[in-house]
Amino acid sequence: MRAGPLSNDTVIDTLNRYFVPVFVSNEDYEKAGGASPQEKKEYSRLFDEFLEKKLPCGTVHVYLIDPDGHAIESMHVANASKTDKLMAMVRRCIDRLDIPSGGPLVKPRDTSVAPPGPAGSVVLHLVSRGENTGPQGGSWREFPAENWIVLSADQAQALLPSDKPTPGTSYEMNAATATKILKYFYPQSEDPTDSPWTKVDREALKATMLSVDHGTATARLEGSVQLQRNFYPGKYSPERMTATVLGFVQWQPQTHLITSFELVTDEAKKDNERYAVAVRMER
Amino acid sequence: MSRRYAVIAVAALISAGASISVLPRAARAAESSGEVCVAPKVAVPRLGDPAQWPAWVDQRIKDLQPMPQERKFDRIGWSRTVLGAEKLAKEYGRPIFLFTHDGRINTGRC
Repeated sequence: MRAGPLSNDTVIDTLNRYFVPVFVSNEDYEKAGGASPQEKKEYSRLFDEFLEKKLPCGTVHVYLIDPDGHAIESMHVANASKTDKLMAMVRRCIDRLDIPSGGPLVKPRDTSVAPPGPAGSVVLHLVSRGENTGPQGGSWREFPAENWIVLSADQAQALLPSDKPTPGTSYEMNAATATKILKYFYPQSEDPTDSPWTKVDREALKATMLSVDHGTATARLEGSVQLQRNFYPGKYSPERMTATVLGFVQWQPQTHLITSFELVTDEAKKDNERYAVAVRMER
Repeated sequence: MSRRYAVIAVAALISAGASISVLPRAARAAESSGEVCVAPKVAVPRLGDPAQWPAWVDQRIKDLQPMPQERKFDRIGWSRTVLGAEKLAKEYGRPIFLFTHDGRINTGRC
């Protein structure tokens, strides 16, 4: 949907002019999900109404709802992902309700943004691209995947040497912190969950002190990771990934404040398929 | 293409009155870069000279970032919640376009 109709200029313009668009992740509306009780109740009410009206219902669907909160029409993703079919439904709704054209009621914004973190934390942004990512990549490869990784103050400090930084020396990076980053070094997949399906078989991240200049210490990071992960959610279908990585971390030795963190795959393969992962510090 | 979109965007903004003023960062960047999406290579050999590795890492990280054309989804003015959408729908007499899915469509981990 995202790389198909939801990236189509006509669809984008039509949604902004005539609708109030909203997308929801089903995980948030499950019992343990993060949506508020009122949100969950309303979502459930809408779902029940579509069911009662015998309109198409399911977890991955487009639902059109009138201004008074009642079901109009719906479409399964298999059809909704075809721009002409989605536009036909949307236009029927516009004509039926005789909606005047306007502008977007909610300001368009970046929807992948850094989450808040506690004081002293470090927020990393990870981008993963399988080979042929793009319109030609088909499902799961149409755009890159992203993760936001929040390291607590203690986890962030574990990236640094315990001793005074001296050029030429090296140290093994804290395994728990390294794993927290490297466990996301896999290409796009259908399973969106973090655990317990990801299994890091082996990881190593070694830092070599390069310099301490003008109050900034720099270390080079080199390492590798081997991990297994399911491609499909809730189904044992592990894929095996291997990657070697290179990067740099910079910090102020006086305050232990990390000012930069970069890590990128040198070589990465899922079976025989290549992919790449890049991580950099957002704040 | 970019001028045409700019005209549409300006018209949309004018018709929206004061409610909307700017497009998000990615959408603006897409306008300036055009719509051609050339995916970066996933494998680029590391240079042999370690002195060049910092520049290599910098460039690789820049190259692998989501491109504006891959974030056109962000040009849509999404409500953050169903209840918020219903409030706006009632106030402005508009229908709601609700897309439900598994995973996280905004980060692609789905």
